[in-house]
Amino acid sequence: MSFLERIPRRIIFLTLIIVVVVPILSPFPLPVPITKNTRNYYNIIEALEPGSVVFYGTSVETRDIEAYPQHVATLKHLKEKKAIVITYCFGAGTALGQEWVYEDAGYDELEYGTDYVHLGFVPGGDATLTAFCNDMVATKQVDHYGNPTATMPIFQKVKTIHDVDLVIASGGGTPGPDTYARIVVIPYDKVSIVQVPGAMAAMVYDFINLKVFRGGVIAQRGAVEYEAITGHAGRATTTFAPIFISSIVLILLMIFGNIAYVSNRMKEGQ
Amino acid sequence: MVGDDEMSIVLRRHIPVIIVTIIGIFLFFTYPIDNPVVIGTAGILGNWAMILASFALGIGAINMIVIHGRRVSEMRKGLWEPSLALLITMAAVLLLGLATSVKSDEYTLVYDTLVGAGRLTLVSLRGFFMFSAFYRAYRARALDGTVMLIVSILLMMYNVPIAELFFPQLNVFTQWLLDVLFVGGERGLRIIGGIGMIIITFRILTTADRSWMGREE
Repeated sequence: MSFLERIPRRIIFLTLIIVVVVPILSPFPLPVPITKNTRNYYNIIEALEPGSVVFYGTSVETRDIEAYPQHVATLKHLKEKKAIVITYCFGAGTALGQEWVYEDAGYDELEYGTDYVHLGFVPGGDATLTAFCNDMVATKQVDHYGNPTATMPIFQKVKTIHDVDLVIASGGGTPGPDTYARIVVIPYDKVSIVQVPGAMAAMVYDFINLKVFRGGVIAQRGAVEYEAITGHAGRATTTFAPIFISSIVLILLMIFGNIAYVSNRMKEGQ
Repeated sequence: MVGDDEMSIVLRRHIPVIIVTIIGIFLFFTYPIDNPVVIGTAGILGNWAMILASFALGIGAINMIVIHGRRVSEMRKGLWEPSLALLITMAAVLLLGLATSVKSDEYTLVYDTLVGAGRLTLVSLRGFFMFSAFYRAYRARALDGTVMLIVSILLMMYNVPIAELFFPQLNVFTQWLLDVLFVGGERGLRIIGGIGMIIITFRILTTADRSWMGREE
């Protein structure tokens, strides 16, 4: 029993390597039931008319297994619905990461400035976002690539946040989904959905319950569900098996470690 | 005659306080007042904030150069090598961005290979330590620790989703935890944070709190 209580770290690390590598080398599909939040998220995008304007606060910095597949699957779905997308970033890294997302979702095949625009990094957090809602072009005069926004066809139609049909908030901190909720969604009564990594899930459950966000893709599980529902199996689906197996192993380790702990304390008590 | 010291105090302390108080009170009233002039002025102030934030980025970069430059020039043991690497990388990426553009293949390649891969590596390494720490640290030593242990296991089973596949009834309980207890706790925290923010704002606007200006000299 004492071994189970104190398994050496090298054995734990070796176990983790095995349970991660094996499912990557021989992947297997997992049946993941669709949750209410993901279903609502899908339904909101599915209901968009062609030409609807979507304001998308993006947060991809790396090709990870949570934010990145959430964004790619969302943009693929938006592309199918022929939505016009405006992306806005609170960080310089996320502005660069969004370039991959556009490419990997196939948005770069569409006409830039007409079908989508990447505004890139916008410094100033709350204050700038507030100004942006009132006058987009005056607040962000050039896009991520240095092109003037005033002459873009998108901004002939979209002047303020009132011209936006859907707000998609994402991110894993502040500024992030709560910033979009406070400054964009609640004051302007916009229809909005959210996507967050698992570590930040607790932050958005309240907003979802209050219907500030009408749906949510939460954690890698949410991304897997959304990829399944849209039929675009991607990075979240292909990397889910290692997470599944390693979680089972971790839960077993925690349970047996605690059984051993309690058993040993009881023996010491006797 | 006003002395140099008194003038300096006026410039460094009183004028910033006056500016912050006036703008803070004005911006507070832009929320309830629906007037185009007020909203327009608030928009201009928002644009100024963006310009100031851009300056803050520049100041941050200069600050970093000064701190790491000092480490390199003083050859501080164990610190100067990474600082030198940082300065060289910073200069190289800056020059590359200026010479090409942030859209260029070269710049994107640097970002993909340095930042993207580096960040993923760090996150992956952290995963190993968290895996080990979860097993070692989560012990049912007391009632609160036991509750935390059980909730952690339930949430892991919900997220993966082991519970839905093997123990559907357990998942109903976890969903209740998320919808009721988590939301209640989160809402409580949010309200406390909001009240705290109102108090801090009030203290700043009434000049009771001047800690945002840094140390008083």
